[in-house]
Amino acid sequence: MSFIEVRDLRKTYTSSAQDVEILKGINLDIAKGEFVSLMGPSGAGKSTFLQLLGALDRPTGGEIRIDGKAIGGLSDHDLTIFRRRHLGFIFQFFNLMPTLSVLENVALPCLLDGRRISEVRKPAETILTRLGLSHRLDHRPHQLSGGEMQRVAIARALVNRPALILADEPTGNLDTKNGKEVLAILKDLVSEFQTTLIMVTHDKSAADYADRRIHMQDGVVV
Amino acid sequence: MFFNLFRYFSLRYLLLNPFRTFLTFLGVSLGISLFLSILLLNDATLRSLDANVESMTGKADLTITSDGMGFEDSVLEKVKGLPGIKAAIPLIINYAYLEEDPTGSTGPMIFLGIDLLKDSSVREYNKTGEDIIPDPLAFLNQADSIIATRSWVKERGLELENTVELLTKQGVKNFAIRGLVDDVGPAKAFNGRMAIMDIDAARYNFGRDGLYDRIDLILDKTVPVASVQAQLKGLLGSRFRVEDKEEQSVSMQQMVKSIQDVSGMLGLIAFLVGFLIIVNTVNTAISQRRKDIGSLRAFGAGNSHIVALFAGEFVFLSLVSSLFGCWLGVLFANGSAEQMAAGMNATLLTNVSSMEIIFTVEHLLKGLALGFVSSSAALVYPLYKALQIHPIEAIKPATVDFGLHQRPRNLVLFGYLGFVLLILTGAGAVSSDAVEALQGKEVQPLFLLTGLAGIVMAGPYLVLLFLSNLQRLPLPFLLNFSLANLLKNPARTASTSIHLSLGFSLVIIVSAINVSFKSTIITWANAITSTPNAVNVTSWGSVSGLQVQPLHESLKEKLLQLPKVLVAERRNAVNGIRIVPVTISGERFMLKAFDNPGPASRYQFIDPIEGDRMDLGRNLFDPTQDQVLMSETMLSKFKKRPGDFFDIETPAGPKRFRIGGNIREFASPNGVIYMTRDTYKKYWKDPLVTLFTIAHSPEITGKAYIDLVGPGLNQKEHLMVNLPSKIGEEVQKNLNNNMAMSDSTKWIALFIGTLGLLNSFLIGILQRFRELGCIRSIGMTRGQLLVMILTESVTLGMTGIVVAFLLTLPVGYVWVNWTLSRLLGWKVEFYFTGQDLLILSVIGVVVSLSAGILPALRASRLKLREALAYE
Repeated sequence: MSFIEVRDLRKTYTSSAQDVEILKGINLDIAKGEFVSLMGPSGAGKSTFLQLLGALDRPTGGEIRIDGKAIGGLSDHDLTIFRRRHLGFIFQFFNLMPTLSVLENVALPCLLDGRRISEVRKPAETILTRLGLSHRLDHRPHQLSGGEMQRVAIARALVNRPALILADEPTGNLDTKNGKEVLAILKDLVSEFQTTLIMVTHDKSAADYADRRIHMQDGVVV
Repeated sequence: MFFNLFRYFSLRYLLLNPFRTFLTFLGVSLGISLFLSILLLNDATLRSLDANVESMTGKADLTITSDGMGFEDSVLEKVKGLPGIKAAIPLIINYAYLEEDPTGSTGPMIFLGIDLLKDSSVREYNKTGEDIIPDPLAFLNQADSIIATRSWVKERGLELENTVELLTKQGVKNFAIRGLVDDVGPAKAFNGRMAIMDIDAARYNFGRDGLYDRIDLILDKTVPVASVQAQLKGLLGSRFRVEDKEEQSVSMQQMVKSIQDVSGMLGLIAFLVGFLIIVNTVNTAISQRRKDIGSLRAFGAGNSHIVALFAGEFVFLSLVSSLFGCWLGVLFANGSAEQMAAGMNATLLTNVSSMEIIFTVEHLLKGLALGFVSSSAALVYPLYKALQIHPIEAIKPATVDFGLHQRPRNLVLFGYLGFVLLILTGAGAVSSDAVEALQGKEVQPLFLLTGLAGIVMAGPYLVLLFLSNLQRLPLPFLLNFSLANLLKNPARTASTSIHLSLGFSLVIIVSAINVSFKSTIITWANAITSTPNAVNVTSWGSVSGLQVQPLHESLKEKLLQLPKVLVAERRNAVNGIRIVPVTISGERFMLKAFDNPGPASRYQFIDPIEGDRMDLGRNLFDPTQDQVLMSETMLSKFKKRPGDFFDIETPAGPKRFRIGGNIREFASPNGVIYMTRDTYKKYWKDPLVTLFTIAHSPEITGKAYIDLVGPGLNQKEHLMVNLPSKIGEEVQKNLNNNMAMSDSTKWIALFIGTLGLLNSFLIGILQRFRELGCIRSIGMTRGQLLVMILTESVTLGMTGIVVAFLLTLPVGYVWVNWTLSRLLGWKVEFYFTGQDLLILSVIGVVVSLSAGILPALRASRLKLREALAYE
């Protein structure tokens, strides 16, 4: 059994004018610890697919199983808890909370889970040290460089040791040097933590870091 | 091009954001409606007073008036003899009550006693040309003849020769309707609630023997009015007013000016709260559409197009809101006209009977102009920023503003400026010399404005200071996170807090003023009416509004025969009090003349400001010297002190009185003077009494005593027996009527403030859409998000309220103690209890929760896919 099983996944957006079918029956299997890059032209359905995998949206048809669990049947509340505990997200624009320090940003999923900062300080510090940010723990996001911000976002995605990390253009807002650094870190951590990583990218050189490349076009995997 | 911009952009943006458009529309409409309704009411009051003057003065060139209880009829003969006077027509004006009004109305009726042969040369009574009195001989031969208005008779299903029962000095008497007048002239001014009788019959029935209330003069056209006026003033002295129509109108308008100034200012502030909603919406619209503006500029749109785009949108919205606000304003004004007139009549003794709300093109233009000017003012700065947007904005990738914003320097500067304004307000209001140097009363409303401007400017700065200090406390994560969210965009938080600060400040100030005003007057009324074992006897009507039929002093003998009347040593059991308005140096004051109740009564009716009540009582009733007690407003007006002498022009000529004491009195904002009834009778020759007090045996309670003697007095003499506290209740009712408008204003202003808060929170949610989507994707549940947003709104709300209290209560204290006292003439003491504070705090929590719920729900329901894609 694969870690991620996607069967006949469909997504249609309904508007008053017309229905637009974005995903037209995707079937896919991804193994645990696999680093997969998702490529394709604009409008191929990559982001929608990523959102469905990340339990941010619900499919119109088909099924997604993550570690044997069908996420389509979960309630909104259970989906939130699932995201909080089992998934990690990395965004193109980092999406760090400006009001929180670096350490608090990393600890945020745990804090939302009702844990105290004292309880999560150690794992957060460990991962930040691993990412070379031990000297930045009390800094605010606006005091960091772009590369550092994305490393904080990676640390936040990893703090709960999730089984799956979803990254949407993680290097899209970085220069080449920082982009390469971030990709190298991601690859190392995936292998170290045995985490599955699915990364949407337009950049062919970024996609080369992945174990497997998946191409999408017009709502299907090609 | 401009029309196309409006059609394709402005209108569509408004329709695309229906809720925000609706909130802005409602806020502006309510603001305009309040402002306009006050304007309409003020205009209606002035018109009513003018109509009153116009209809009563008619064709007269000059009018002579004096004290409220009239003047001796010998004045008529004196005046007639002067050269240049063609005709002098006397008049008696009296209140009377119907024994039983079929319409259920309990208000008084105005009775004019006129010279039937001459009066029509001054006043108009006939429009239709029908005979007013079908049988003049029968009318004149019978003393019970009255002329009623056609509308009044019709309303009650009466006709000629029917009789009505009226309460007169001699008790209830039947009067026959022997004439009908049209609803023109005085009848129109008094809304038809008026009747006429022959002047001699009126003098007899209302106990006005030998007196007139006014004389209207028609002059020879060849003689200059001013010279006759000067001559008359010299002849009659300062006890009399000799005025032409315009001067009478000005005098009447002066009486209501202070009240109108205060209410106008409150309306303007309420509008200001609504105006802030436009400012906020305009700011948001422009900052959200930077990319659109960049694109339009890239396509060749010039400055004028960008200006037209936003001006079209917001000026259109403001004008539509103003139109609706005008309609709403007319509704509000119509709804409160009657109550306002009743309050004003009772407090200022005016005769505002017909408050007809007339909405003119001028009002419409004023409403629209206010909307136009306010939206234009709101547009200036954001538009200036919009015009700086470069076309490059359009091709830049979309970025999301996640950054921390510095506390803008302007905000700090504004804060300091606000404190300076507050200090200046306090100093200006307290320093009476400076106020007088700046033309006295005229500057008082300015302090209301500067105080509020200070609060608006200093408030947001204090809110931010308060929040940042609060954040230093060890708080739970969600509360700390909420605080951090509020502090990360100080400008947004500041603009949100302004709505609440301003709306809430208005509520606190109006509440403080109302509570202080009511408490001061009710405390005084209770103090002077707290005589134990006593009841008051009056004719039907309101004593505080002087709408009772005066009683003859001879009634005292009958009252002494009542059972259980307290006969004690050094105490007189039945005492008369005469209350009349008097004119001194051309201004109207209230005179109260008392029978001596004896030292055993402890002179409870005196509320001394300086000295001991018993000493003041002894001074007042000192048989060796004519003494008066004067209210502090009157003393300060004439720059007198107790012990000084004061000259009063009495009907018996100028008399000198020693000032025996300084008293607290709220019967008239101008001032009140106390004297003994013996002195009053000696100089005013008036044997009438406004009310009697009866001291009864302590074996029986006041209520039981009323049950014992009330029915008999009511049946035989048609008198009312009440506890002394009834006067306090009347005062309270009048105050409630007077304050109804300011009460409504404050709640509507708070509602507009809540709308502004709601608008700001919604805008805040919109601006944070992606941030909230991100935090949800990380694992925040809908419930946690709901709690976080609600925590933000309540924290901001409560902080805003604490700051509003901190800033507004001192300002309110200064206003109540100095500004209001000078505006109204009464020395009002500041009252604001812990209970008031608690009630307003609870209201504050409810307001901030109500304003937060919708945005919180909206945030919690956001679709993650859309939020994360949101630019």
